[in-house]
Amino acid sequence: MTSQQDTDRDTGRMIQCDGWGLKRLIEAGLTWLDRNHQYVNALNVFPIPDGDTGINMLLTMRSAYKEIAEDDTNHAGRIAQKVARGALMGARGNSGVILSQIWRGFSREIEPLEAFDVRQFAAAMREASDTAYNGVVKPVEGTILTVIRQASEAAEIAAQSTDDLADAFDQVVRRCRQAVAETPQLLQVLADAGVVDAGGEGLTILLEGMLRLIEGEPLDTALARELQPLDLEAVGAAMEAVEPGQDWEVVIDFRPRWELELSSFYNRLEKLGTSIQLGQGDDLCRMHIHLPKDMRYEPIEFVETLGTVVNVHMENLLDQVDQLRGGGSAAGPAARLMEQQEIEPGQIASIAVAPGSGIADAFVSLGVARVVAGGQTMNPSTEEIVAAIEAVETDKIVVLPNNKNIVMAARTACKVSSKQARVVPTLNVPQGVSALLALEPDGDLDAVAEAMEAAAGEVSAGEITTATREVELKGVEVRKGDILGLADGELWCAGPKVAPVVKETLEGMGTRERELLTLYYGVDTTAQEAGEMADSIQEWYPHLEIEVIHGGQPHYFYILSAE
Amino acid sequence: MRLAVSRFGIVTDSTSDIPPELAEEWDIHVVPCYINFGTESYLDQIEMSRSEFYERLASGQECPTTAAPPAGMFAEVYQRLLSTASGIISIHPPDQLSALRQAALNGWDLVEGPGERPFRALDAGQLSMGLGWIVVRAAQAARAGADMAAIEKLVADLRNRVHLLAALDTVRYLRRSGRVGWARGTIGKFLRLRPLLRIFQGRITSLGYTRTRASSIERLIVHLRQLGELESVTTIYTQIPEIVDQFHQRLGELQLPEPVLTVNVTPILGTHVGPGSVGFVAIQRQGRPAS
Repeated sequence: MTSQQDTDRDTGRMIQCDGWGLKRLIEAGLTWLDRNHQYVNALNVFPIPDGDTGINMLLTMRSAYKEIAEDDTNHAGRIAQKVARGALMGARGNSGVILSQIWRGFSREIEPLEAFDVRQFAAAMREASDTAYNGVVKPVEGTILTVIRQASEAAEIAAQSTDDLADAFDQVVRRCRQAVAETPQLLQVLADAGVVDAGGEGLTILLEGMLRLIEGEPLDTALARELQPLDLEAVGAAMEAVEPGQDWEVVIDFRPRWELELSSFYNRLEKLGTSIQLGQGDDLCRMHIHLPKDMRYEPIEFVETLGTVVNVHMENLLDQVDQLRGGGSAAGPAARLMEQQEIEPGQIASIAVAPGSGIADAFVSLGVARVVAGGQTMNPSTEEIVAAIEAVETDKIVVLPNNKNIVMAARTACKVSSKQARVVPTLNVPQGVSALLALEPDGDLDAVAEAMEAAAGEVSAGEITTATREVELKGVEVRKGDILGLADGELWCAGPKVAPVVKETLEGMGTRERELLTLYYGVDTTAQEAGEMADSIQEWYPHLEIEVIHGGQPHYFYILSAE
Repeated sequence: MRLAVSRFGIVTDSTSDIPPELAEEWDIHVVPCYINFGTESYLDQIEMSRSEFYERLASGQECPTTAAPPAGMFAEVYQRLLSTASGIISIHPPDQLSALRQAALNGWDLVEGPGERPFRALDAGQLSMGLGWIVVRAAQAARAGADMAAIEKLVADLRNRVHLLAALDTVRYLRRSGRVGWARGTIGKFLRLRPLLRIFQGRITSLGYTRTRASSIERLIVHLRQLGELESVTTIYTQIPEIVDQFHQRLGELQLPEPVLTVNVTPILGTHVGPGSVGFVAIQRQGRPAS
């Protein structure tokens, strides 16, 4: 940076930031947010609450910048003050309001200063966080609030060890990224939808832009993140992810002796495991964690230092997953991979990701070499897919992710693997089945992968699930608890009853032109219900051949496949 | 009364599916196989017609088995032929799939006074009309005066150019037969599963599956086109002629070669594939590399 006073050009250190410097930082933050606000929007397409977080934060920041655009004062306090006023005047949406509070707090501390150093920056960040919290009647963790608080903590820590603002910014941004990544652990609704908090992400992008300026990285070139808009498939939720190694769930009810210091509480638990949650009642707390088997007693010992343990519940999640698959075989990470029929070396084998016991069986019956458990709300890791690839007795492999959210992990796994592995990017179970059927074990790998992808495109898929929130999307109005019908991945219809939604979805899938319908019924649907549904479908489409398969998938009453 | 007497006697078995008129035209001697339903045994196409066989296969709970004719039956045919032929060439399905060639060899051992006259039992690497056409070509060469070495070379060459592809209506029979390793795993999840298979150079390989008849036919056509220039196409099917019509209609629409012949295939294969299958035997033009 050139405009800061006291910048040591030889080392790139930044001891103080003056008004010009602050203005350039804000400009950089705004530019970077502008570049990336669509990503923030995408995070918030569903669940709906305050729709367009990215654009709201961007408009708030634009309004803030307008106040200083023509101002060339070198007084940092005056710049901060003007920005705070502009943000307040232009705040849109919840996240915009909170962002303006952040600027208000920040400027209050900077106001008298011509230039600020690391310690003053840390103090301003603390004030920013406090002001933001105070501005919300009922602060919710796992949001932009958590991110600004952690940012201020990071700034304070940095101030103790460095006098370099560049260094402090770097630490703040790192902490923000981590805090954002952890928001789903703090806020169930995020975990359910499979997203991180949008507001927290927006704030991180703003600070990231500032850091990029300091580090001399371009602000106008590539997007910081790949745009991955969510779709309504993220609707279903509840089933908890089982991460590799994190195969035990421990829930402890305890009575704390004094008020819990949450950040140190979480810090301690984060060293043990994941999916950490804390519920606080009048005098009783309940904590929840996923961790490896050999660490499963440690949370109890830790909580005993904080108060009286009342009740402990422990569960082997891998065993649950196995039970779900109708398996119940030996525990341990290997249990997630099912052993299948032998493949001759040199032949092409396939690996499929399957979201339910019955669907796993179906893939097995069609000859996949390995099934990796996973689906909408339990995406398998790259590592698990690599493990499956390496375990197959041939070096030519086709991977079927069967879910949009797993395609990337599958691609990475194929790159990482030493074998010749290809991804056929199937987006749902019907596509996966269709692709798998086209597998010629003795063919040329690339030609086979291509033929499989073509086959995947020949099938129409429908998914019937429940809405967990209210939403209006593409002209379809959805109330919480409604049954949703998705045709080929797009929200098609919604209503209070399953059968009419199935009927309408089938129309959306172009079933009239098709020959065969396969109905995979989920874990919450009985065989009798599925049979009755098949009878109704037969009445609607007398020409259709119908097959009913126990899919055992969570969240989806039915997965429909028309061919 | 024929004027030209073939130098070599050409023998095959009923898995070749050669229509009787064609066999007669080229002096091909077809030894019938046995079809067993429970304890009852029938000679293929002599004591039981193809239609009877498939009706019984589809309707009954009973699972038929097929058996190679006893060596003695081959011996009888060879013995009779030796009165006029200067040698015998007996052409059969691949050893991996049947014991027929072994039965033929055993039959030759029983022949009395063969003298110096040569005998060969050849593995055509094919079934049904895949085998059938190789036998017919061998008989034509013999008629034209080819010697043993030339006929052997011809069979070896055709082995690399004749492809049989079939789309089955169900995986049930294939699974039940236990003959094909890759079908064994496909246990009962999907009712509607139509395997596609290829027989080439003595091996049966999976070409995957489809779930509808229409897509089966499309896939057959994709494979037919991949074979490039062809000398001929023959339609093979098991029992249900409507599927043949569907296949032929698509061939016509796409202006692909018209089949020279349509045959209801041997129960030896039919037992393992079941009724409702359709496919083709294609002979690639000479000089084409084996795919």
